[in-house]
Amino acid sequence: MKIVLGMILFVAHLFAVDATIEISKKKDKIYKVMVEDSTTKEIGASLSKKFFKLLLGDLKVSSNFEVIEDHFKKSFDATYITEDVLAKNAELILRYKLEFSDNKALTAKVRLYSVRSNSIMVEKSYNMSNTKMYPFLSHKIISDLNKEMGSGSIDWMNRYVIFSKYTSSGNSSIYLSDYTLTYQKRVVSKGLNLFPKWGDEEQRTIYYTKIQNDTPTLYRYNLYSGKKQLITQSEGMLVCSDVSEDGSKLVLTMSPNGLPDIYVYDLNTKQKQRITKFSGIDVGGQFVEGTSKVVYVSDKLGYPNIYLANTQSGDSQRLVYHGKNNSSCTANGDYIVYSSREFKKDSDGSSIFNLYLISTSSDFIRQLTSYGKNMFPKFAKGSDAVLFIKSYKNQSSLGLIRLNANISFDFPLKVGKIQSIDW
Amino acid sequence: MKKITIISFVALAMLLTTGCSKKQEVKPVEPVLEKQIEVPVEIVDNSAANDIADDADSSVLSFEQLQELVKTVYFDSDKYIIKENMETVISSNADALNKKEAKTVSVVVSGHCDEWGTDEYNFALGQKRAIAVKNALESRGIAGENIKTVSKGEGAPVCGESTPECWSQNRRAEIQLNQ
Repeated sequence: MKIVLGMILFVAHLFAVDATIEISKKKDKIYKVMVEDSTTKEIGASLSKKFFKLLLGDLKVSSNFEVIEDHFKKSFDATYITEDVLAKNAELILRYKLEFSDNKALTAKVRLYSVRSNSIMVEKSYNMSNTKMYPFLSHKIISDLNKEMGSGSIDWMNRYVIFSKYTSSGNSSIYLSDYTLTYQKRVVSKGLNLFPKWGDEEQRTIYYTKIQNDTPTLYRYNLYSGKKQLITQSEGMLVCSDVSEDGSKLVLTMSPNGLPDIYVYDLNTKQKQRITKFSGIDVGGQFVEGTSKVVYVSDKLGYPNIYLANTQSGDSQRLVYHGKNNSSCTANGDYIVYSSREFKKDSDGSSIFNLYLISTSSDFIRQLTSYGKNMFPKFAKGSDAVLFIKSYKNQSSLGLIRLNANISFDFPLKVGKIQSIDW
Repeated sequence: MKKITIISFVALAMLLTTGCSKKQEVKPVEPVLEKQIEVPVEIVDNSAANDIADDADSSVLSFEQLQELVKTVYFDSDKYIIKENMETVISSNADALNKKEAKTVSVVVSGHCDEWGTDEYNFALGQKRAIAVKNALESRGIAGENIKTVSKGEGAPVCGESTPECWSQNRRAEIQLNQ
């Protein structure tokens, strides 16, 4: 109960001010930080360089620090106040040392030093048995430092991302990843494995669709035990679009009669409730305001647009009144982010898809991006962070928007074509 | 008596066509000789010869030949309406599926999309394309209960390049026959 209450307070705090109109988060102070690397040679130059870049990236994404980009090498116990520190006007020094322990675990010693008070503010050490998961070590260090500095939680950094990517025609695999997609572990392969969706808050289970003998089949898969359970099947298409907070209900897009419609599936009673009955395309349902409403995409006016349906009455209303192709959306509480194709073209003549933020409790719209194709927006559970895929001039990247800080980041993608992503 | 008559006619025909200088090897294409000598229909009661004649005349399609007869249906960008120039493809597909050899096969129509569009919407678009082809075949006499549909979205492209030509090849509905 305390956890639930805590989550409610946390979300309430994040969205205490209407995020659709409050552009910038007011900060007490943004500290200028210098990062000093004391990593031993046994770690290797490659890992050492990658880790440094990750730390810098995480510091920037936290949006609480101004980061000095130079890669300074220092002994872990060396003097802190140096000419470099003074020349760069650094206010904080983040010094870290990576090394292997006796049992080959990756360890990190971290100190945060205040130049002004000439003292160590934070000192921590970390241990990670699986070296391949080093990106999570970086994310953990920065999210902890953020907490120590009294800033809002960025614990979403520590969450896993699950995504499906195409490997060849007729084949797609599902991967577990960190939010930068640096760490990747394949968890499902062979055939078309699609639309992975987290099944619980603890990120132990996923739902995904496998096209099996030309029949889409929805499975629940426990990543830790390897137990796989068939949930339901449908001719045509079957997608788990969302999972309720308590994990008891799913929003499904399925076509048992040939036409793609939105259903709410109760895992306890195994009953399906049909929400939409339009003869065209209804897809991408996301729970809004608990499980009382579902926001979804429909082409009922001849082009994809965003609608809101009441799960009890089935009544539906149009939510978006601009754009002629609004074909994906994500919801968090009563906030909705959707992708919309603009009438104007990019400098290379290609279409622009921008992301917009709206709320079911206000009429304001906030534009979140301004160029490129920004698609597949996904809220991180209970946070102000939205992940999306950006394509611009033949380059794809993973985009991240911190709504409250009004900052966005791009991480170039080198993973092939992503089919679907959730975090 | 009938058999004796047939044998006499056959022997006479062989003499006329081959002469007596060599021993003629018996060939399995006996029905040709029957036609040449215009054997009255009512006396043809040799069941074995009948079977051979039926197979040769009706040209039974193999499963592979039947599969080759059914063609892919292509769609416009973001559309699931069957284009006018695809109606003839649908009709010839229906003709193929109306053949007697198709009575024992099951049909799967798979809908596909180009790389544009979003994940779920693209799968729904593929499904609508598959359903459009299924409905068109049903309207031409193919039993709907024998047709299964599945959407593969942009997950099974036939062309992997990012060009308009490739995208048009990938916007399609394929008809797969299963024995």
